[in-house]
Amino acid sequence: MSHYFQLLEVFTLREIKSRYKASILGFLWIVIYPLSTAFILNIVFGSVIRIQTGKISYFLNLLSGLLFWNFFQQGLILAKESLIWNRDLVIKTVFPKEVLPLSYVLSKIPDFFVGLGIFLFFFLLNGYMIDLSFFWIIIFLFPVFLFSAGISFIFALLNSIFRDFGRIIELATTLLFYATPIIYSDAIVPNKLKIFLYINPLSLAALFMRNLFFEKILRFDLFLLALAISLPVFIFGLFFFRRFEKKIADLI
Amino acid sequence: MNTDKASVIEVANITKSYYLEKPRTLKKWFRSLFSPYGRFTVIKNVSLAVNKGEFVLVTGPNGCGKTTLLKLIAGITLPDEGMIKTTGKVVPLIELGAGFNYELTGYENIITNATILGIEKKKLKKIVKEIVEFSGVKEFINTPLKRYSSGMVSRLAFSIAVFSEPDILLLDEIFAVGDKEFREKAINKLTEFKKKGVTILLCSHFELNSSLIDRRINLTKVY
Repeated sequence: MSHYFQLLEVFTLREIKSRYKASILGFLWIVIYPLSTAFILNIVFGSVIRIQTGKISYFLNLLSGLLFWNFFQQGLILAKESLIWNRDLVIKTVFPKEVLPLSYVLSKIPDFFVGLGIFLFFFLLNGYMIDLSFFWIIIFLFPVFLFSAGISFIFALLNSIFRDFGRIIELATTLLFYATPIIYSDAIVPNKLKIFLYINPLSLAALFMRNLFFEKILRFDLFLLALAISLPVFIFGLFFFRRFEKKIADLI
Repeated sequence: MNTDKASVIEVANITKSYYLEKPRTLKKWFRSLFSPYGRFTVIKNVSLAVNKGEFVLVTGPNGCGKTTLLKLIAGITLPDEGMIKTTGKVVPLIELGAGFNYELTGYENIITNATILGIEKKKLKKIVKEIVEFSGVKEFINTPLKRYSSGMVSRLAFSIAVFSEPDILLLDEIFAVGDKEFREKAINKLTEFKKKGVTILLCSHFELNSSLIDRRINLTKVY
């Protein structure tokens, strides 16, 4: 068991370190990337299309939606390729292979905290005050991590055998982006579609965050709901991965 | 030291085949439901028992299944039929430097690779210096691996593997790379291992003339 965690730690650190090697700006990319995404979306949907977000400024609404989304999407994008990129390790060494997708998801945790820092910066800039209860936001990392990891297990495995699944998950992720209240607020979602806000852990994360920061309401119910959805996804993903793990070396 | 006659590797009637052409796309895969891809048998009905501390040399032409046999024993891939049992810690060296990350430094790669080979964190901290020393790439240990020569990469990889304290060491063509000095160093290390009672399976194209070898197995192509 301790070896398992050592593997996770080593692979996660390896991924974080190697990601910004051979780049001039290095770790600055952790800041530049989410900021530029947010600015672009802000111009298109906030300034041009002018989606209304009530009393919350559009940019803050956007940043609060993007925080968990970026963690999910960027982790998944890497993790789905994890077996392909580490083909040599898969076909020539022995260790629990699920560590690979898992470590790519974990490698995005520092980015999450940088994203949180960016959000807090603009939050303060907008005249809000920091409250100690904001620390609760971190607990939502757990269900979102489980959800990301579960999906990553499934698609890392499928993508290593059939590259089609890499494309499919990219497409599905784009759909999920629009189904999650990131570029809009949940208030404008029609009642009959509201159910989709509550079965998607990422939209629950956005709702949880906005409630916490802008209303100062701690919505534990949203957390539990997200956990109830993410945990089965994680467990299914892990079982699915383990079931076919020994086949990967022959089929990749 | 061959007094202990308990076999640590038992291979019973194994057969292994690979897909001739992997169904790469969904379209091909659907077609393959109707006309299955040909399978390519690499190993057919092979049995083998290796005793503790034995040094076995496996020879044979390209494509006779040497590497596959090692992969099966290591548990990287599963046999279609038959059973494999191993006792103790198996360290496969299918390729020197498999899984090295060329953007990272030699030192960083030692940490990753040693962990894959099952060296514990605490122990790793202690022996990392020895690994560096043994590899002979000390001056370049903080240089990214992409700047290394292929010989340096091999030496580093071999050094990590020998410090992983295997009970069973599976080596594939490791003498094909590296210079004379490296070969001598490697053979010395293997001699040391043998004295300690480590079981070694070495695959090679060449007949290795060494007193180390207890048994020679010649695999032939089955197709």
